[in-house]
Amino acid sequence: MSANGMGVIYGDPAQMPSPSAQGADDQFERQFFNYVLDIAVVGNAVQSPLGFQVLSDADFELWWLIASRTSNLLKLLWKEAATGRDFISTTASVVAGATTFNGINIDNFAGTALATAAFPLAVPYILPANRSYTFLFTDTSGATNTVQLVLSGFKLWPRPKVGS
Amino acid sequence: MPGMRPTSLKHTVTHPLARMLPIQREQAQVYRLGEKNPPADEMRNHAPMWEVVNVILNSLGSTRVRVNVQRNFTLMGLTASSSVLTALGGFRAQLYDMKKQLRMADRGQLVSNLAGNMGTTPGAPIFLREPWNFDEPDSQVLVIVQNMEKAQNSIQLVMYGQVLRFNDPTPGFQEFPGGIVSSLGR
Repeated sequence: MSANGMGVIYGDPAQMPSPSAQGADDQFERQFFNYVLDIAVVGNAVQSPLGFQVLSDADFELWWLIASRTSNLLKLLWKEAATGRDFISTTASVVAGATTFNGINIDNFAGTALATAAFPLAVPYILPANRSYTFLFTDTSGATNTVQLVLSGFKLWPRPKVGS
Repeated sequence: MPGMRPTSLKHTVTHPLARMLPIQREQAQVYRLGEKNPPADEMRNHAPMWEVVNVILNSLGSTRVRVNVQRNFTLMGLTASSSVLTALGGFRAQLYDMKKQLRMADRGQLVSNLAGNMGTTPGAPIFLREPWNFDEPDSQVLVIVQNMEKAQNSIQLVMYGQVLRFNDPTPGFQEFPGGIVSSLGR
């Protein structure tokens, strides 16, 4: 059955999706969970770090990014410690007037739930248990910028197998 | 007519993530996913990526920016912001897939028609109904930006998507410009 409720006819059996693609159980119980990060970024701070570590009890499946801030004159970078991955980067060629890359404008990254402006990850991302992440905030408002960043998703609890 | 298939999609290239996007309210409502497992299907081991283009343009200025996207970058959404946004329109932008030599608009789109951001109320990014895959080696995006304002304008255009992990251990994945990604694939 397709997403819109209409059946799909496969003329070629080779085109049929695998059982896993048809919605097979992944053997995880999902517990709604939010990681809440609060920081007061000092005015004009450059790449002020905020670290957090995924709790050791379960992997975390990230679905939504939600953020509130005092001023929108705020940029951020996001790094994954174990892999060295930069989730936010630029490889743009030389641009007139460009300065040091301090990240994405926070309003281009996430907004508040109140404004129905949470950012949905179109593909959820799994943050492994115990893994560390760092956000780096750069303020250009000149005043203290109070930020709350929420990573919303699910803890993944392995489901005990019946009969085992 | 019996047996006739007037709308066969047999030879239509469909991105594996296309079926994950909803039919209604496509701009904002992309959360009901996971109709299959794993949700990312062929794109497992990918990670979210925000490719950021920052430009500061003088009054009515324009520029071209080349973005070297990471391996197998799949464009799924756009957000944008403009420090000056009046009735003049803020800025225009046009995207171009350099490798495939395809333009994504026939002329520059005003920012208000191109993408939103989450700072306005209500605000939302724009999501592609079907993700666009920059799957050619050394893919580049050419971004042509034109300031519509009569003042200096600080512009940010963000391409949200998925990229393959640079250290992905899956055998057979090719590292640009042609080597094997990890020793496991040798």
